[in-house]
Amino acid sequence: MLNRSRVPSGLRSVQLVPEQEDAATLQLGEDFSSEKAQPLTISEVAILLSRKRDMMRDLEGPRAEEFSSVFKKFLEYVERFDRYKGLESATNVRNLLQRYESLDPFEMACLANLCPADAEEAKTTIPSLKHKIDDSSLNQLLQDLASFTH
Amino acid sequence: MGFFQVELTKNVRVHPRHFHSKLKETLIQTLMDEVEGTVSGRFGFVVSVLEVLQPLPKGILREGFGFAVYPLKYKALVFRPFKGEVLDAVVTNVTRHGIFAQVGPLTIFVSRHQIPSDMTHDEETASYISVVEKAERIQRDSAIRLRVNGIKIDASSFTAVGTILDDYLGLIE
Repeated sequence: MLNRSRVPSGLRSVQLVPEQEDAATLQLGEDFSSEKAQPLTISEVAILLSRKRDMMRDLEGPRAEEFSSVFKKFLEYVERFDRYKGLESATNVRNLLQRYESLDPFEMACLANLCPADAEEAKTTIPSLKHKIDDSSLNQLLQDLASFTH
Repeated sequence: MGFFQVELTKNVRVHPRHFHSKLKETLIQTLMDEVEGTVSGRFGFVVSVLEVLQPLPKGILREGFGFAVYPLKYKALVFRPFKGEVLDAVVTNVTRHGIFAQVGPLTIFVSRHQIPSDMTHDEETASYISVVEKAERIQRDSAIRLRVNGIKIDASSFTAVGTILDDYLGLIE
């Protein structure tokens, strides 16, 4: 719950996202349902954005080096927080996560990105996991994920 | 967490001077110029166009203008923040009122009341320092793990408020 009394005054009057949206219970809204949107890990995003950057650099003329500030800021962000550098690790992580069929694709991306140390940490930071996977399978998954980090 | 591949549609308008063999390139370039870097409340930040779906649709001529409109379908990489999710962010500013942190271009404000009470604000170094462990300090460029508590949308931007007042949140790295 957003505690209004603690929100700075400038944020008080503005429109808030509909209350039914809540990542903790996997309510991401119609546009981001698992049929319509595929969650990506930070490592996958890092690969896509650096490919795009290289492609743009190969162009000649005024188009080269022309990136939106949104693009540049996200590239900087994913380069800092990419835990599984390189295509091979990113693919290994994706293949590993896909084997856990009970998990939602959004939870898979969260696990890869946050890389929690154990099941308790995972279930606290990603609360929707609570009744989906038992602690020993989750611990095994987290151990395997950690083995791909750099 | 945050990043998604989604399929979107955009009506791209093309001037008749482009009605030649390079039309396809013009369409794709115009699409990228018009959507990349934009922000909408519904889909969040459009970071990059990944693929334009083929075959391209037929254009519809606008009567009386000569322009043609092409409803292009494309796959885009977007970043859409959600209330309740845990994200890693980079601290950009520390004040006695709280911490400003960023995930790419998205700013998230963590108010003083959402910071553990055993961290005190130090005016001189512009940081929050742990009373228990002096070496633990949150300052500009620190990485913090936070939970998004609320999101504000307006026409062209998102701002969010967050908390580090829970287990496993706070300073990382």
